[in-house]
Amino acid sequence: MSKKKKISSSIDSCRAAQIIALFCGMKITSVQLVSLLVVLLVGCAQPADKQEESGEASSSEIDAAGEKLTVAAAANLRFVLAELEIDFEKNNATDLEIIFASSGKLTSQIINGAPFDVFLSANMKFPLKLVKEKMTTGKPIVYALGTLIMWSTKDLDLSKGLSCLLDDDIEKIAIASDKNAPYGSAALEALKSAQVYSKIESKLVYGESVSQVNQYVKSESVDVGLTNKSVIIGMTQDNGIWHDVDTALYTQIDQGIVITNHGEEHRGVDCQTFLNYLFSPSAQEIFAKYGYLAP
Amino acid sequence: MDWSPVLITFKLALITTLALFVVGVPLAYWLSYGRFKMKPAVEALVTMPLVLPPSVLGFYLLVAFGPKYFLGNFLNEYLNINLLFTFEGLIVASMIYSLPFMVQPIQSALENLPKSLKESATLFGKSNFTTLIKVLLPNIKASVLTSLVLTFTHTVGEFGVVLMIGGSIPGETKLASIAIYEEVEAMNYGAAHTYSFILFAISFTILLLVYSLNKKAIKVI
Repeated sequence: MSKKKKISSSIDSCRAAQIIALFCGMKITSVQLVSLLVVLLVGCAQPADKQEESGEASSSEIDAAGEKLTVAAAANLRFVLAELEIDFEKNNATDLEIIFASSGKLTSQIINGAPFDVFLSANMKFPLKLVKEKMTTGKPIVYALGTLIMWSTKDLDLSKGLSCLLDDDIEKIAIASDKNAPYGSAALEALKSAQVYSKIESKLVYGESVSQVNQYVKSESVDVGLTNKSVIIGMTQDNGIWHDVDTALYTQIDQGIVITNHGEEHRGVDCQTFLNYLFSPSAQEIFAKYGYLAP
Repeated sequence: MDWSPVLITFKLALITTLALFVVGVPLAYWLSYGRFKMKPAVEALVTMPLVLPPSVLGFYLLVAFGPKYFLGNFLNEYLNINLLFTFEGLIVASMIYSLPFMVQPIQSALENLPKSLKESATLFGKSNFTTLIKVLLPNIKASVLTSLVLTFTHTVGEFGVVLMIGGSIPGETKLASIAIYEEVEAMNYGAAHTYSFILFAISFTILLLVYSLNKKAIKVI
């Protein structure tokens, strides 16, 4: 846009903004609006500079194969995938683009057409749902078994397992919402099996995914959180205290991976390469390091 | 069908509106008639919740009310008040979130009143408070109504802040907006439709009633 056009369109939007502001009962003088515009223009100038700076980096990121492989990953994989990504990209030309959210949310996004190539869920139920909705080509395979722990950044004694949640010292307990997060369902199941659920139900706080649970624990907004084990290995500084939840109390967390139709259509070979990589010894070693069990 | 999300949404909106009215009117009065150096700064602060994305507000409230830092720690230890994951915390958060909607229309209207109105009341020996209640506010009824309605409906639509500091506790902090979001995510579209329609219908009826009763209302929505 030429300078003249830019200025005249700015003046028009200036007038429009004043009228809207007047409607909302706010009085803004022209001087104040001009200063507002200056702030906005300065703000708009910055991203352009940043783009130029990172221009070189991003062009080198675009590999020979073209775009990145889009991986939709369950929230609990945040830490382990960071290391897996580095290891994978060392030996492969393909780069990964990873999106983290609760498994349920990702499932409904894929069903509604989200362009993800591979889906790493925290259970088998959601990938099987994708198979039912005909959004995948192959069958889901279990790539790792998840483990549930109690985690706290406060000075508490968790050695007695879930029964210490009955303690009056523990006022708030965070778990993931069982609707969309498999770790939430597992946590709920464990609490019910341990027969503490009815007594601690009023202390429960529900996070959108294990990420939000972790955040609540880290910020000490809650006393204890039931989350995935990888968080204590992933967060290396001052990671509080933790205790395994007895595996007998919850159904084994089978984490399943599936290639979507979108992935098969656009990057079929790369998806398969990534899938095969996850079962390689080096990948399984990284999973074990972060507290996952072999499938 | 669990109706508690809808009930607590309207309960929150009602309490927030009333509480904000008590806090907002004096603030608007001070901003419109006060002459002090820091006035633009205060006005900017009042407008901030309008400008900032709700996630920023939610984040700062999480930090402020959390036990790690001064304010949260003080409230928790000495006054036994917990503002995270509680209904009371949501009331405080909503009051901050909807503050500009209560203050700005009233402030603007007070500024636009003829000076003679306030001055003649003072000449008759009436206190500032009496003048406010009996002379000024009745003359800006339309703006007061706008403020109340905007605050109420804005609180009904609150989502980002609640998502961050609410904790989605059924019957306490799981508002209709959160419930709808969770049902959509879990693909229970039937439940999502029901909640959404109820919210829409009740909000629309309230607004319809309010606007038809007040013929001089400024239609800003």
